Amino acid sequence: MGPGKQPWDLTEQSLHRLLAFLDSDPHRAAERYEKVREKLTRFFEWKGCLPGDEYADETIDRVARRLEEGIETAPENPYLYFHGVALNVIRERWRKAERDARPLETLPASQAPAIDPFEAQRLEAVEGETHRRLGCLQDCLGCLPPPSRELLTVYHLGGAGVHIGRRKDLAERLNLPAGALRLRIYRIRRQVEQCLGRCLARRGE
Amino acid sequence: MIGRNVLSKGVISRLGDTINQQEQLAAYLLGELPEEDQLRLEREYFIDDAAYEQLVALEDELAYDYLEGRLSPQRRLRFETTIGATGRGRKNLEFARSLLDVLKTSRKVTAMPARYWAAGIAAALALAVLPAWLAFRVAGLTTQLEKLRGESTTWQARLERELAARSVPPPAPAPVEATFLLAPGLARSEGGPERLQLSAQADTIRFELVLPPGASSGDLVITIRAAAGGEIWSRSSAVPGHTAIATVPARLFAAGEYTIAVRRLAAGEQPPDLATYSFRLVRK
Repeated sequence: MGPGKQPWDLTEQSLHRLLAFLDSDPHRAAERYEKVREKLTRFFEWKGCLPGDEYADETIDRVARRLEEGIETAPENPYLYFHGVALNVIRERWRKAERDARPLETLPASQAPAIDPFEAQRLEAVEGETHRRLGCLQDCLGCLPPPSRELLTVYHLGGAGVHIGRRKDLAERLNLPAGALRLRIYRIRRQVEQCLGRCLARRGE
Repeated sequence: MIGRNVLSKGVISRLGDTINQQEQLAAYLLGELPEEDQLRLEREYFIDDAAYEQLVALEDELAYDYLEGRLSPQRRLRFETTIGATGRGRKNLEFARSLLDVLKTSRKVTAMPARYWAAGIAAALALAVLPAWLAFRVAGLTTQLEKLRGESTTWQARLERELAARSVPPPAPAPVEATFLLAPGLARSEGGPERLQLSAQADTIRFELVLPPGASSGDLVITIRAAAGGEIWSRSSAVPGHTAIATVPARLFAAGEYTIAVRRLAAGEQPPDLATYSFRLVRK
């Protein structure tokens, strides 16, 4: 269930005011808007409020409305202001959830919380598409620079004296902080994922 | 559940370096942190993009932990009802599963070609007693072998000749390995790259690479490149002494010139080569 909608719409004027609140430079403000929306979306998802982007938009609308109404004291940091409003949205959502709570047995099957993401995506997979996908992935891994490919393989499968799951050992061997190694692996995986998207598009998925 | 006040200021921006910090960040993502600590973390990542990126990377990694069974039952459930329940989370899981599959397959294919060859040959020889199945099975084996690593037509022809010639299958031959000792730099012989003669029977080539002084021990990456066609093989391995060993399927090599480069395994920019070994391969 999404957040409660208020009878208020973001106008062009209120959007400009919101952007100016984020940064005086319009270009930077637009970038920050995207970033804060992304952070808010993740914030709600990590709190189990789904869909996160709807709650994020609700939060942004509320901030815009408050700016339109006039904030008496300028906040210490615009991002923290968004965070504060997001917390209010969550508290309201929880209060509403408590009010609207229904026993599990009374839910129709379509609303039962039976999400098993692993099973769901397995059921969705079609054999032909899976083959194409794996073929593309193989190609994309082959296109990675050898150091990145080696690092990704050792990180996930172990090797060279590094046991599977002992990523700390690998970080120590590479003389990198664990967090920095994780970030590097994350960026390699995103690189492969982007390549996969392009490859599947080329092959007609 | 993580106890109260365990998070000091700026825990994410220190990149979650210790196990304890990583555990705390994971606890946040799965909704296990006390509210006070949650607020502290949130204030940090709302202001600091680097801290936010660190959390996103950890979130991504949780999908791999989930698939590889590294989460406790309680955390699996939390993952499924939070991060894994979003559209993005399901997409991440799908990608993670495919990536792990491909990485595992790639490693298996690269690491054990000789074993597959031996198994393929043994299976094909056993089928010699069933002539009616022979053509079908040989074709099936050929396809399978092509999938694994490109096949050698020479071997296939030889196999078929042997199948036709023998009514009783002999035991499968043991893999043949050719060993070459190489010193860094150009050739040990005068006037060009060292000439290595490779027997047609060789299944694998074992290169024993003498490392230059000061370069011994540690995690090294060995890469073999053909002068004509780029990289043909690469592997990282821990080298305990003064000699690095590379065991490579012989079928990867046609006659021609090759260079083996050895460098240290590094996470970032590729370091310069520690040593290179050039040779010309001649097939007997």
